[in-house]
Amino acid sequence: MIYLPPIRQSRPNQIARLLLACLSILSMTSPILFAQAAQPAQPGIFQQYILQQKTEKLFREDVVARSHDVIVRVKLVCQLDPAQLENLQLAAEGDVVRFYREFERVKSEVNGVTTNDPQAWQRAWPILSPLYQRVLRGVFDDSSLCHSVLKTTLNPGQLELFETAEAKRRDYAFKANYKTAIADLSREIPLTGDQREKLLVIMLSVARPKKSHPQLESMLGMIILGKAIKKIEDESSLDKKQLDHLVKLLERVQGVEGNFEW
Amino acid sequence: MQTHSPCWLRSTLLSGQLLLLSFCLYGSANGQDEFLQEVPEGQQVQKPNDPILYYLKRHLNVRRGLIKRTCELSEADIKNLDSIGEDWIKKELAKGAPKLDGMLNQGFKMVFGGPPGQNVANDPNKIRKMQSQLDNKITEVLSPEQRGQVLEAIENFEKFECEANAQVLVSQMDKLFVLTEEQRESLEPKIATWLKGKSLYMQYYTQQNYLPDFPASIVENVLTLEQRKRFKAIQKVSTDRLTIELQMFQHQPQLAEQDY
Repeated sequence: MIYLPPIRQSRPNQIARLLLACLSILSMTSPILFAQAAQPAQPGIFQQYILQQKTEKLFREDVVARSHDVIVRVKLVCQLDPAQLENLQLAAEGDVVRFYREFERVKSEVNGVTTNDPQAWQRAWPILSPLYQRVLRGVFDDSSLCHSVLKTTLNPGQLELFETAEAKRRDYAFKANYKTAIADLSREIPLTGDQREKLLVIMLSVARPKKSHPQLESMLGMIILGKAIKKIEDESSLDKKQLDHLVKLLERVQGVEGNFEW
Repeated sequence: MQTHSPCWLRSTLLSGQLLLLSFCLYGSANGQDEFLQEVPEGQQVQKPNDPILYYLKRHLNVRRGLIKRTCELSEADIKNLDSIGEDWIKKELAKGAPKLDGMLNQGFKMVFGGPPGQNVANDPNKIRKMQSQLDNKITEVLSPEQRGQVLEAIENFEKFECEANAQVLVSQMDKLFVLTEEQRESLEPKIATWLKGKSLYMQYYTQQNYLPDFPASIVENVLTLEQRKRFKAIQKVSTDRLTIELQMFQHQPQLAEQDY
């Protein structure tokens, strides 16, 4: 049922309603507004989820740039000789070719499907979803050719420097995620500054997932809190009321943990 | 920058007009109105699971809990603090009950243009305004020293939240166009400052490759030319957290408030 705020009934109120009705009819029959409303409502799901409203040209530029991100990240910490650079560039180009093979296949299979047609959308989603996840993860993750070639192209010293920098990058992202989870929690449970800090330390001590899941990343903090609940009970100085509420909140993420690779 | 698609605007406009029309005609054609109820002067009937009431009660409980954990309180202080409850919220809500001219204004906006506006019953600004009134009310019962301690605790939380959200956004930018450690360190406080007083729906940025539409001046002197080019190509959308939460309110089970 539609809920509208209660107001007191009165004669001026009824007159106002009639006036509004006339204005509504007027606006709906207005040729300009009506012509606009009759246009197609939604872009195709490929445009919406994969291209994310970009043109194909812009999307390709982004993919090509991203294929070189690993090289950029290596160059930030160590020098590459021409042979190493060439190896990595070839691998990056290979990644782009492999990605576009998948891109074109999915595009041809879901072509023309929009969210306006729920049945077609439902059929297309399993085809689209893996590519969508990949786009959200950043197109080229640890399983990319460039990452594999990196391990055989860099010397041990370079590799160590690169891996240290990457670990720092990951630490930063996890800490940010956990802090946001604690901030969200503070809207439901009154936490003192000291309790927030203790929770963060506990969360950082818990084993992290090996692979991220972009769509569920916002739940990761709560999952980690669930994994650390025993430690939280012992070390965080949360009182019984706070702990009881936390346990109830953790029920919201029950079963989500299995979607991450640990 | 694109915040809403024109299709969305058009369909919202049309469905708004249809809703308004059905509301007007239904009410006029029938002497009795199912949607509108006769209410005594000064009283506001609350729908079960009313989102405004839910968010205000939650805010009150959490604030009260924070005060009890931050200050040394006497029994009289606690009694005073606990005296501010749902009744007070309902009384304050009744004062701000929607007026006829406000509804007319909404109608005119729908017909002649202007932003679509919020359903007056689910207005996030109204909730924020009342949350701030609640803060004033519950700190009134405290001594100046206690009030200072509580305000400091609230300020610390807001700072913590801004820093956390800024770090998430920097991390997202790092994923999108590779930042150096120095760039991360430089961007973080700038974004945290920009986030002050804002409450964004952070899932938008961790689930999608989007960024908020912060001013270019934040990134201009920090990013390289190539990074700025990629930054420009990213979808920018600043989505208010409370607005999204209100939209999802009816579709999500809400936890009963814990009385702190």
